[in-house]
Amino acid sequence: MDKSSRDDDGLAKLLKRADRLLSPVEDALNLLSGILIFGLMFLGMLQIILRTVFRSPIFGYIDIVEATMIAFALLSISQVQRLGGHVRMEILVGYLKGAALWAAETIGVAIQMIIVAVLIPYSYSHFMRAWSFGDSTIDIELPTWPAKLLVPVMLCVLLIRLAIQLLGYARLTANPERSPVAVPVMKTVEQQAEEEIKGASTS
Amino acid sequence: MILGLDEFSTGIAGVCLLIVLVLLGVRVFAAAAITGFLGLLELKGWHVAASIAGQIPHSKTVTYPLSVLPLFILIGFLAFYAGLTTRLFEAARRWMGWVPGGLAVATVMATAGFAAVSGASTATAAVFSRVAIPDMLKNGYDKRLTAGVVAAGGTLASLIPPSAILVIYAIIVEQSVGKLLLAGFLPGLYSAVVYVVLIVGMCWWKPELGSPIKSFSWKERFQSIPGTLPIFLVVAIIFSAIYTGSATPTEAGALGAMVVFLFYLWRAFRENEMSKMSGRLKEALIETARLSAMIFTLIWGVFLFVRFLGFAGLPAAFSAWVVTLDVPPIVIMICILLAYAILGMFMDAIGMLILTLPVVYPAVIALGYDPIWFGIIVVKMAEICLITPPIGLNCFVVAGVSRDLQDENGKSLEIPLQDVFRGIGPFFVADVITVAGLLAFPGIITWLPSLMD
Repeated sequence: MDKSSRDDDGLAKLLKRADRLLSPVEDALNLLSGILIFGLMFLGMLQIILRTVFRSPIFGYIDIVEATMIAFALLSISQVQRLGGHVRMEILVGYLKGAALWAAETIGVAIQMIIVAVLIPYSYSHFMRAWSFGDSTIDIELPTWPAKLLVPVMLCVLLIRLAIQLLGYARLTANPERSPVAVPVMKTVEQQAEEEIKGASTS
Repeated sequence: MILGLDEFSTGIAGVCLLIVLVLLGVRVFAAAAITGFLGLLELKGWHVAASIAGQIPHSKTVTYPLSVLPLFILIGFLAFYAGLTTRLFEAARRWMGWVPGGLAVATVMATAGFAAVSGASTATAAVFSRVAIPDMLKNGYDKRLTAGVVAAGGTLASLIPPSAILVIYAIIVEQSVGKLLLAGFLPGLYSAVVYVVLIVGMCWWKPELGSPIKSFSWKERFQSIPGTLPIFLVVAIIFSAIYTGSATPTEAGALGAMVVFLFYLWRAFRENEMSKMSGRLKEALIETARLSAMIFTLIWGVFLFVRFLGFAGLPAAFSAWVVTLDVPPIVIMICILLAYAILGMFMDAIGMLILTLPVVYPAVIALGYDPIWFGIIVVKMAEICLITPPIGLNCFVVAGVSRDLQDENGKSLEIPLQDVFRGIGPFFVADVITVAGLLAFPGIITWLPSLMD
């Protein structure tokens, strides 16, 4: 069976389309997170200048930083999942091949889906409490609900990514001959090293 | 209660489940979070478990001290794209080239300098492989020494501030971020000095390993300094801010990132590379965002597990058991360090620390060890794992970079992986000596942070 015929089944087409739809959203969220970090750099500079030169620090600086931190923490979570970047140990799965490997990956993603699915409604309740009680920060009384709302929203994006990966791995478990579609493939140490090297060559 | 287990048994069952899930390759944040949630469910029931689980991703992320992490990561990426590596190496070779093994010594000095703007070991090894290997091989340096020095030099990045891993340690064990960052400085320099002594000794004993290069005039030496100024500035900013308490680590991180960014801007403008710069800046920002998300996700996932461990009373029980053992604390400490060395061969250093510290740390403190001292030792151990087989990612990186390198006659400068691992041998011994020194003379670590009191 040639490569092209191994990834053109109906499910593969669906997964490719879903991946194509979600990936730009994840990339945009990732870039937004990067821009916010860049903004944090300018904000920190401004704070130092205003405090040391003009003796008038930004009122509520810590509140503002804390409110944006949830963005650095979560905006890229789904993209990192797509790229297989969340830390894990590959000591055992590294030895698996074929259906056993894909089955292990399917179980791993299913476990991730369970905890993310549990967290979504309860982080939403956390947001709802902040919304209904009008919870705010101490210094500048910044409402906390937007940051709290971002948690279930970003976990929903992650859940969609996990659903795509679950189907992707299940498809490979059913027939290991197929080409992987919309799933990160485990990298050997050599491949990881290769990525670092590629990164270093752009300097 | 679903299974009807007592608190301690639930704790043990939770740890076993976590180990199984992690070994099965489940992402650590999810393995820890689901174990923590199930444990809380067993101990406190659905309502409490759900309520805690719903709060932790927000409450454990939104803490001001953690905001320094993305900025420290950004400094490293910007410094890399700003081309500080080549300038550093040039300065180091002009100043240190005259000693036996001068280029290898210069490589250690340059990697130590780059460590002052970056906390990423493997990236440092990758960049310096490209910069230093061709020069060393061109000057007839031994292939194994050449490879070993670059792979080992990379590991200095995690100790010398700014270091993301030390910030994470400080947050997990609730110690001062500033003290941890200060504490890493002298051990980082000490590691570099041990490497330098080793290289000079080896090259003095066997001059064919690497001879001194031509001597540079004082004028040439001083001319190399301006290109490295951003590094000195970042060091000065971070140190003065932390030491005097005039700025928080986050503000110091912001100022440090700004300095490197302005240098990059100036360099791009001067060298007519403004068009390239925007692409590289975007790359630096998205890489920073990705790494930050990876670390933050790990932190909140593991904190859910930590909350469960607290309710189960496991860390307290483990420390109580450890102090009753009829062996000297130093033996227990060596066992803990060996366990880290083994675990670190198979797991990312940050993941390893976040996962194990909640249980190990209280026991270490109960044995009477200093929390700051332990942080530095454990990070050094994690770094040693980057140069030891079977994973030794830095060694793979050096071998990989060398494959693409050629001299001016088009001859390959490849250094095979087995030669890299052989070359790293003396540096591994040097690291063991370094750790032994840190065990014997804890003041190397604790002196600088003690000045803050």
